[in-house]
Amino acid sequence: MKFFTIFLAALLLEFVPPLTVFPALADDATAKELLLTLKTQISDISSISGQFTQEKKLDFLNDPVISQGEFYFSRPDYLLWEYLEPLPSGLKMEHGQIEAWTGRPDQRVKQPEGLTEAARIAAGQMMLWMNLDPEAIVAAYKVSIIADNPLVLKLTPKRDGAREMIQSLQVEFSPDRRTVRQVILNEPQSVITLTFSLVRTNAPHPSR
Amino acid sequence: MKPNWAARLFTVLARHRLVLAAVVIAVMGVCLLVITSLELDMSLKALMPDSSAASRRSAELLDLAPFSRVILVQLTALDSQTAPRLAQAADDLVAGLNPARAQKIETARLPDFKLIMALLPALCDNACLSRLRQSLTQPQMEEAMASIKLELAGAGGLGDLLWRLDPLTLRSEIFSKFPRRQGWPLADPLIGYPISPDGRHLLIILKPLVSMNDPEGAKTLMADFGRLTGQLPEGVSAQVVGAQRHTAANAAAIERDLTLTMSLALLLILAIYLFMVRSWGSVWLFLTPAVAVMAATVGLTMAFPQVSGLALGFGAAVLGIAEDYAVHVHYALRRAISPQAALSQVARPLVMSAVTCVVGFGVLLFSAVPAIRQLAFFSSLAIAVGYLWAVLVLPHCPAMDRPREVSRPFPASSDSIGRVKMVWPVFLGLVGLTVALMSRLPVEISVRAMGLSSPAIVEDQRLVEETWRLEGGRRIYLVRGDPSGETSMDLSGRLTEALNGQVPGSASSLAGLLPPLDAQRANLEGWRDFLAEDGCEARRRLTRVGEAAGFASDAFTPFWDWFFSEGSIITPNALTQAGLGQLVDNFIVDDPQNIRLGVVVAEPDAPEPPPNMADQVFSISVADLERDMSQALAGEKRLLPFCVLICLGVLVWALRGVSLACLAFIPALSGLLAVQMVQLIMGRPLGLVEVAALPLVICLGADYGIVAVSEMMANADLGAPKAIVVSGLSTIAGVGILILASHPVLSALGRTVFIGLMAAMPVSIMILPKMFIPVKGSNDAE
Repeated sequence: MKFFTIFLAALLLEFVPPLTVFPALADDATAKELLLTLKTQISDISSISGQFTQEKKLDFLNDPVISQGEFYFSRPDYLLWEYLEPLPSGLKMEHGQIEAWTGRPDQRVKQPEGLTEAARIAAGQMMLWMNLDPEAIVAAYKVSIIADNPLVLKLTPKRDGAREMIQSLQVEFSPDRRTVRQVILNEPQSVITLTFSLVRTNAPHPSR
Repeated sequence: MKPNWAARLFTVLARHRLVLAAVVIAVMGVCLLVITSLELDMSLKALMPDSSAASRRSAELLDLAPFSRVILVQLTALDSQTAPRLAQAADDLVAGLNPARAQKIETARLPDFKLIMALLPALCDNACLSRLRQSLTQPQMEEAMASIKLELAGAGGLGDLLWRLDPLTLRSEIFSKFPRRQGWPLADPLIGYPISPDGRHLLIILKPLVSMNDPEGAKTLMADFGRLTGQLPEGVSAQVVGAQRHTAANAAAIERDLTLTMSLALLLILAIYLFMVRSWGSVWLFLTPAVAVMAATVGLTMAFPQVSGLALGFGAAVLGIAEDYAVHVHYALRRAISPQAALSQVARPLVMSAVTCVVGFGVLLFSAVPAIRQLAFFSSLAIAVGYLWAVLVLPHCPAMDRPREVSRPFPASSDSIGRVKMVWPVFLGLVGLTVALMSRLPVEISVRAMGLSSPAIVEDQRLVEETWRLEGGRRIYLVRGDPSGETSMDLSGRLTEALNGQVPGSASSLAGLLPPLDAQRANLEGWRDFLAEDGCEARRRLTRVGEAAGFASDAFTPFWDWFFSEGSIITPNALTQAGLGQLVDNFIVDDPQNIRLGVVVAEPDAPEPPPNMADQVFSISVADLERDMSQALAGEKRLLPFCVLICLGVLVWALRGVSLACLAFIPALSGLLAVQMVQLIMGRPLGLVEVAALPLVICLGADYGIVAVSEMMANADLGAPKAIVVSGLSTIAGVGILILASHPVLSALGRTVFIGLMAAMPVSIMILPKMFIPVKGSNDAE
């Protein structure tokens, strides 16, 4: 589950076309309809890349922990999510094969099998989101709309087991509603804020 | 002809036919009562040899194997966008299951890491404490704090949760004791089930509450799955994998086969009687198998505590012999001038035949396979009852006691004999060929070959194993300690160590997490001393180092909570409470006597367990089970020569001459030889079914031989050839028709009997008369 929330945020970033008027609280049917509209409107996007900054506030640390990195997704099944500072590490999924590592791009040390298994689960989730299936997402999350301008969606996992790990996801969109500006993940002992920048769509495939 | 005991008894009973009828009806009524309350054991256990301790234990423990305690249901979507939708379908499927038959094994909940860390005091021995002391030095703590901060800069998730509980990564001391093979794929917490990377497959792991040895329960369970998978959303299919599916498929196939073949058999037998017997007496001939099977079933119930359904099913095959006596008596009654004359003539050859068959089948009582022993008992009893019915009751039945087609009067004496020709060369030639072929035909017992495995089942299993990378072929060892079950974990640990000592990483068990009680007590004592010596100082030091690294003063309170606990003895229950119930279920089982057994999972290339543990370690891998079975069943092949020799011995006694006995045995040898030749030509080894069915061929062949030779010796037309053809055809219709069955066991049974009889029957009718020259008045059979 380690990477799941990050993927979720990044994928949401990909699939956010302009939205029309929302009700304040979305029931499953409304949320499904909304997500279906989004899916139709982003069908021309085949890949997305950019940089991110992660700020992690933990109740047992005096100061937040900040890290930075890059990401690249492309349909149907390629993902690269890589932390560059302060601890280089990352994960790549290609054609269903998972690879997780620590170290800089030129000095990668593969993670053991157990961690890859966790990454496999994360990657499975990621593929779900890459394809933005409204019905599937609504089956897993309760979707509610926190604010309209800028648009903020809150996703709460429906299953008890999932809520033990992720209490909720809060996604804030840019004013033009074309991209996601920020994702806030509420975990049991921490609040993680991901801020995205230099986002490009349909960018060339990374060489590494 | 001088009336014999059967003729004299006929005369007596003829005067009391009402009494006879009342007795017969009463006996049948009692039998019916017993049979209606009969509970059959339909499990395959009855096919597992119990002659050796190993195979007996394997059969007993097969139901305890982890693979038989889980059913996997894979839901597959046509596209990859449906993981939560698959989860919804899975939820619906699970909710629709009858909780009394199967329950979901929860794999999506996180274990309670606080309780897991609290296991450390009981697990930490002196070496572990030394490492701990090293971790509690200031440089190590500073390094740990820096490392945590770096790790926290990553994606987070579960790791963040653990740092407060275990900032010094002491958990490695616990995790290193986890079994290497921990079980099933991890569930995606958002979905609640394991999901494949491509999002197309979801796995439901279920605990069946129906035994793999319960065909009815398995069929009901599979019917549940059939109903529920039929309700899946469009585009979603299901693959069900589990021992119960095999059991249900086999039971359904047997039922289907028996229904089809029994219907066909009844029609065929009816046609045979209609066209060949053409008498109202046919009604009583029809009744003979029913009478024999009822009486034999009751006898079986009285002799064995649990009656195997398989034995009973196989036993139906011998009804052909039981019915033979009735057919022979029927023809004799039609051709003799009186019932007494007919009985005087046929009672003796038929008793010879019955004794030969009973003794021949009696050899199978020494079989290693319980079902075959029950079959032998059942068959012997059915033959005896068939004989008594034919000789004592049948002649008194309406339409049976009047001669219809007297061809010629019987001679005054039954001592008319003749001489044989070419018997020895033919007999010895057949024996030589039989022995030669038998030595070339291997006996091969495959558990898989005895069961029906449809392509759909095999394909589903392949799909599930491939998707979830479930490697088959592992060996499962069950380890039994003392009756209290307390030492089974110690022994599991010793076995795991022994196997890993030879091939590192080849074995896993739960013994590492459940050390012996003495060791746990010593560890807890050591932990208390460790806390008294180093605990308080370590706390002060970590608080200081943590604060300097930017951690809150109470950051590691959860750590100190368990660290300063005195710990407690670890039990399977404690592991379950810590959220490790799945591990406990996979590595600890209770046997039928409620004795706790440890499970050791070994790779296919793992070495054999040490010989000194042989009495406490039981392998339940299919490969080992098959090896044990093959060893146990190698002896079965030796039963055949015994059967042949005993039948021959009885024939010599009955026919009062070696040459005549050999002559009468030629049909049996021909049948045996034909079966062997066909097996050899088809490139098939002798399986358990063939081994069990061959005595049937031998006995039937001997039966035909005795009747034919007796008639030739009597130089009388008792209708033996016609009787042989009718009884042979009816046996083929009853048993040989099973050749059409889809189930391999039934099909093999039918094939063996069909081939054997197709050889024995013509030999009896056509070859034997050519080898016998009747000579009236001679005392020398030769």
